[in-house]
Amino acid sequence: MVVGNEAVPTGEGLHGEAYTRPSRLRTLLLGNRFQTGLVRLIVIYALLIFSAFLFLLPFYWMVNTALKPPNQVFTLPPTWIPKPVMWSNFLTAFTIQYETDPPVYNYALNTAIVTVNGVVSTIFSSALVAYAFARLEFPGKNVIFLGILSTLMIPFAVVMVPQFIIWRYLNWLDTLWPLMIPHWFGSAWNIFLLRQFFMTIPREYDEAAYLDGASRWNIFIRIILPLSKPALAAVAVFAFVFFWNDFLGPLIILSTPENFTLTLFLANFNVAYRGTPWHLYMAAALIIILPCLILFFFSQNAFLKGITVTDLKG
Amino acid sequence: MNHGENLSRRTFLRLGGTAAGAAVLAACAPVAAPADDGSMDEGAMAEPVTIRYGRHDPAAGVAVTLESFHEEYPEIVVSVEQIGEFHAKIPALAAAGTLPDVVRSWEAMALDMGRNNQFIDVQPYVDGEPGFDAEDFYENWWNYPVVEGKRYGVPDAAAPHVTFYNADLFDEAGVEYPNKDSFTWTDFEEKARAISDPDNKIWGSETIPVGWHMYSVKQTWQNDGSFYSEDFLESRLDKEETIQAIQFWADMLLDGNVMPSPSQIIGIGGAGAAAELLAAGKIGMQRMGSWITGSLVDAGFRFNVVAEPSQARRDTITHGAFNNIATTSEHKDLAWTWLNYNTSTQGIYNYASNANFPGTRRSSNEIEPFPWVAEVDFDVDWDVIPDALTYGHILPGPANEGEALKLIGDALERVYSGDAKAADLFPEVSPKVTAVISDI
Amino acid sequence: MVAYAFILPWVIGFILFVGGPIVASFVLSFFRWKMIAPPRFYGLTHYINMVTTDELFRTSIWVTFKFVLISVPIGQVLALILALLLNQRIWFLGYWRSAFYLPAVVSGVAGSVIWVWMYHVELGIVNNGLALLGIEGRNWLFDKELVLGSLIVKSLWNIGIPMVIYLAALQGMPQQLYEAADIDGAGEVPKFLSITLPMLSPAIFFNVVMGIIAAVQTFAEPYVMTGGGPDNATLFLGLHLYQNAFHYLKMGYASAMAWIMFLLIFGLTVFQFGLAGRWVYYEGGAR
Repeated sequence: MVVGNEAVPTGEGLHGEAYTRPSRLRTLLLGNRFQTGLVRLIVIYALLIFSAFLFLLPFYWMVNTALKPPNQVFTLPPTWIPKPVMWSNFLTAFTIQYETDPPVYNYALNTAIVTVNGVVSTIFSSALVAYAFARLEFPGKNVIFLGILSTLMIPFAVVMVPQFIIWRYLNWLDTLWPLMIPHWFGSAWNIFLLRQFFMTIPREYDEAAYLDGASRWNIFIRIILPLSKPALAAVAVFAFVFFWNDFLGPLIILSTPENFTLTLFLANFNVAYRGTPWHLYMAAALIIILPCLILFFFSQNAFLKGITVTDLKG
Repeated sequence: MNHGENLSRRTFLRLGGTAAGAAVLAACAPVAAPADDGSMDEGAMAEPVTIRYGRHDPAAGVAVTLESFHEEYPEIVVSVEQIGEFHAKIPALAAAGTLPDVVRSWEAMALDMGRNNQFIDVQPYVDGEPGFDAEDFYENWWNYPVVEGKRYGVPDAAAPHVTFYNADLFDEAGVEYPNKDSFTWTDFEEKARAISDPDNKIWGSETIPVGWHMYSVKQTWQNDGSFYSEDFLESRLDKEETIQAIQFWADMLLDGNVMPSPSQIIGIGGAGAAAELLAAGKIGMQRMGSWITGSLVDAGFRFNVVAEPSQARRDTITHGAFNNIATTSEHKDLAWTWLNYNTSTQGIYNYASNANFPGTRRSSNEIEPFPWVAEVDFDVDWDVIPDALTYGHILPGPANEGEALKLIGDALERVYSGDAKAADLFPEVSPKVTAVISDI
Repeated sequence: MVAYAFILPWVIGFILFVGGPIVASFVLSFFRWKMIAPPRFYGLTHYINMVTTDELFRTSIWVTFKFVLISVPIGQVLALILALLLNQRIWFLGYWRSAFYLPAVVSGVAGSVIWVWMYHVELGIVNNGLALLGIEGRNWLFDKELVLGSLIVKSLWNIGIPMVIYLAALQGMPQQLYEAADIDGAGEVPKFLSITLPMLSPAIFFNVVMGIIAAVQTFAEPYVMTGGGPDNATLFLGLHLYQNAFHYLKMGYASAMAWIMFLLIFGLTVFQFGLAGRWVYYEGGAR
């Protein structure tokens, strides 16, 4: 504040008064309305570099360990760069089979099944419901919508035990069904996101089709969904990350290793391998997070749009 | 049961395939593609029936038994399921109704599952088995899994805890070997202290495996204390002898000059490494189950065994397991066929000799080389191991053991970390344990 | 009528997987049911036990409360600071943003595993990094005084989502307000306090509410990193509940605890909404 007052002694240009023109050096260092000052730049970049360093450190430590030869994992102090670089650790971690357990790609397959089903089902069902709230009028609409939103507050723990009991009596425990079926009925969060997006689509598009005699279903499939690709993509990438990483659900449902998903495998890893081979552990962790990282890099826009599609003011 | 699972699994693959597109599946599952082997054909006579057999370990010890069983009974396929986090997972599987046909359970688990009708009464099978010699089993093991006249399992192994010692380390320190006839806690501490050299990471005694609460129960027994009453309905944590026993060993643990203290363990690579210190030649004496013999054979030093040190009385734990049939099994008769084969004289011998401990059948323990004996080129007092069966006790089996052990374990952890005194803490925890174990 | 057909999936799903289970959960909480034995009516015993005999329950509530009260505010402030940094005229905005966002796509389990390794007392980068600075390391996950803090630090690694929401809100701010303030010669801090913060308040409100809901349910981190220990210092409510339900099979008691968890979230959220009227500023009046 003090600096600001010194730099611009009197109300700048408001009353057309002449003001002392700051020296070039001063502008360079402190900047003005149109140009960021050097001091400020240095502070900003220093902070950015420092924070980015801290945020990326865990990734570095994981990759560093994942690429170490086994005999270097336990050396003190640890080596900061693996030498030689053991790319084969990834292959080992991916194909290693502990005793009677299935190989890792079997877990990957289970995770892939659950994830693909989750993404497809939640998008389709949520879009369906969202469409009704965005476009149709019916008694109780607002109350029901509020009801949907308030289910966001319900912890999984509350429904976990009764759901477990349902699956038990259907004899579906230790199968993938309980991890797939519930997602065909819309998720509150995705319904909300998609409804917000659908409301931004000009009504003229579907009104015209409606007057031409198109059914609501056709409008939904032929007009609304194609126009909503960005929002659907955003929901899809989020759903992918959610299902890929889900842990508590598989933990309570699955019990035999051949049905396990990757997260269960990773959580059990050090139990299975006594004396934890950390290089393989980290290699496995890297393999498991890789699809999400790749997805993130190729769909950053969808990711970021997905978060910000919500109009927080409404 | 199992057919249903195969079926749904196959359906998954198809469903997933439709949704994911063949590319994903092809990339993820080079070998998982299900070949149509016709196992859906229930009527086929030649189709062998699969019996699921669940254990905590990979069953390396029963490999021989499995092989001869499959030769003798080609119509039965025993598929071994190694179950991680055994203590937690078995009740969860029971709740889920997906227990394996035959479960190899531990002490408290066998009783708890039996009380709750998760395991069937196998006495009718025993009675119907021609030539079944129940007398062949040690009485305490044979009678253990019986509740209100119902027999919930058949025992296999009986691994007693004894003291292993590194004779070379004793010689180096000029300490006399433990006396076979009289070995007290005081002797143990004296010898351990004399051998210990913490600066060079040598200790006279193993560290107490904090987190393994059954390890501590034997210490209370040796002082005439206990965790529970005889009928497992009441806690005995508040008993003077129990408190004294735990505090005695906690003080020794925290001392740092007898065994690696909790803070010293960190310096030697954590609890996992601490368990391997004996084999590494860094530990003078280790009180442990006889199954560690195998890891000492090639350790490069002379070892020997002696009974566990005692205070008020000679006692130790014998840890073993029972073979049970799940109530949900759809092939109980075939399950019994496997169970009976696995707990036969030869079946128990195969497993016990692989792991270096005695079996619960006398006849298994008469086969030479004796199951607990390992081949080494120095003298070992092997008799100490079967002898421990005569005075040791089977692990306790209260109801709701998991919850009770959480309470006891938390208390033990605090005492072993020097956070609290057993005398202050145990009387407080004891009624809570009673409430848990009496809640049947 | 067509409308109801469209929302039918949600209605069915709600009845089967949310509404029904909620009612069932409530009913179950009055029964003792070990799943492997028939249920027995228990009245209010479970709720009474929570406040009388089950010290672990109180511990778990307290642990969860501490975690929420510390990790959520610090996380929000940090997310806001990062968003403000990114909102400057900087080069390679996308790369910086990615760096901060990236941890958010790493799962609870994988992230926890990585942090267990980071915190490893001898081989972890935290202690070895501190050693380079001449600071003696600590046993981050096995010291009961430190362990909750260690988990909070780990949670700060995952603030990508609130950060991006703040950034979007900052970028969507009407520039004329700042221009007017510039003309009045307002400094940075007054501008931040009187323009940025009020305009951000809906985003802050949203992030805080969602942050609390997620933090109360924390599970994977303590499950993987500490198992609730040492000395129950990280026995989160979610973990205690899981153990009661699936290790001890106390389904009725677990249901009662789940209801308490729900009330906790509900209470904190309602509290937030109550406060919101005083500080959340909505453009264009009441909405």
